[in-house]
Amino acid sequence: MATLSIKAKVGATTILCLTAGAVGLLALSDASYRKNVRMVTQESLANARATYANLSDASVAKMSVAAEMAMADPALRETFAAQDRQKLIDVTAPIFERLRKQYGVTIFNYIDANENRFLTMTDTKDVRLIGTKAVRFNVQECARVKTWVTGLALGQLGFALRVTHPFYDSGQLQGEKILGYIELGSEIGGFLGALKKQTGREYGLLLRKQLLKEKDWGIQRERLKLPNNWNVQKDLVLAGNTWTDESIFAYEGDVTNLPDEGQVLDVGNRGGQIFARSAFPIKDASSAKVGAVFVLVDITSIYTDLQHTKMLTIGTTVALIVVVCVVLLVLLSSLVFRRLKEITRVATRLVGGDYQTPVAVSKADEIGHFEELFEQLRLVFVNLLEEYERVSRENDAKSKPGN
Amino acid sequence: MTDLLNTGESMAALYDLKVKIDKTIEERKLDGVATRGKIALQTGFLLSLVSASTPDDPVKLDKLKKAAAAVLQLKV
Repeated sequence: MATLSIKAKVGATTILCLTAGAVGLLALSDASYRKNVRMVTQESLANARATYANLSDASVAKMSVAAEMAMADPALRETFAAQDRQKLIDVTAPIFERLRKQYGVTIFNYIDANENRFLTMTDTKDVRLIGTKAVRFNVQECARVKTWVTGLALGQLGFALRVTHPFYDSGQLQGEKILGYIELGSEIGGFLGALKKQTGREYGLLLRKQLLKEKDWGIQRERLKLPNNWNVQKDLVLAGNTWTDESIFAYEGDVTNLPDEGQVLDVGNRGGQIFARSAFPIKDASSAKVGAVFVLVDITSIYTDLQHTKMLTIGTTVALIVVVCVVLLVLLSSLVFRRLKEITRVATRLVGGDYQTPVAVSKADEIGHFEELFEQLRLVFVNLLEEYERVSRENDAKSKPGN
Repeated sequence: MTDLLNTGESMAALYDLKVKIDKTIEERKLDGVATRGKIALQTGFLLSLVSASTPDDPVKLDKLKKAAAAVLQLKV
């Protein structure tokens, strides 16, 4: 039978218990880390979503006021009514420049009553932007309802938050005759910078390729002097971001499956920085999910704290194992092992012929009781042996001749 | 000495071995009480009770040989 000393068993049990405790602590700190990351990420997601909505509302309000003021401008209205494109460019240019600088308005379009593009201030020379049909939900909806239509829409010049309104000959919000439509827009990519400024997080905007045209995308990227990233991802394309490494926004999932309130996605490492990713969908003017805003939360400090806690737990456990083992073994040695060794020594000497060495009762505890019992047993043994020797001597004497 | 039941052992083999053990202890200047005690604990009987008239018991003899080998490294 394999033998294992009590010392080894106690040592092994101590190590096992403390290791189990340490593993439990590590699991707890890991769970706490995940909870913290989830909380921070969810909070950031909710914050980003609310900020995005606020920015969107504020932007719509600003563009609505600007459009209203533009329509009320007699010079601008008369020029549009006269269909004088060059004069309209001259009249609109200073207004557009001021709106662009002060309010981030990047789109200022005139669309005629037949929903064809009349003037696109962003690029007045592009023939594709003159006389062609403006096939967009917001334009068609505006023509149908004859009032404001706002929302995200994709045009030749990119994905933008647009405000579209019928341009009445009265210059008022309502009128008899529609001259056409006025459309002001702010490119959604610009929102990301504002979001970052307000929340301190990093953002990326991914759009569904299905709703875009590869050729138009290439033209738009060229106009913005950006490399064409159409083929980087399978179903999505990155329209804008605030982070240096675009690959962090790679996403294989289907953004249409993202819940409206957004979703925490995963945690990734980029160049030593740990980011938690989450995303919320964005909808166009027709309420279709057209893409998603990705939120990056730098959780490096939380992760570093976890690693520190882990190292501390492991270090403390190792120190505890050493201290507890030493204390236990010293205690056991003093209370049990040393006294058992003494009993063994006396027992060995007893059967070796030393009948005089007694077992001293050292303490009044369990081992002390055993020492007492063993001493009684020793005395019985000695008496028995003496009795045996006496009988043996008597028998020897009787067996001798003459007795 | 004659063999007993052809075991190859002499009639006083147990006693002879005891004498040999005592002699070895003396020669090696060992603690006699402690050494005999260790052997007794292994064999289960007291060496002091083995005398020339003690009848040989093959089981006891075997145990004593093994104990002598273990405690004194005595090859018998």
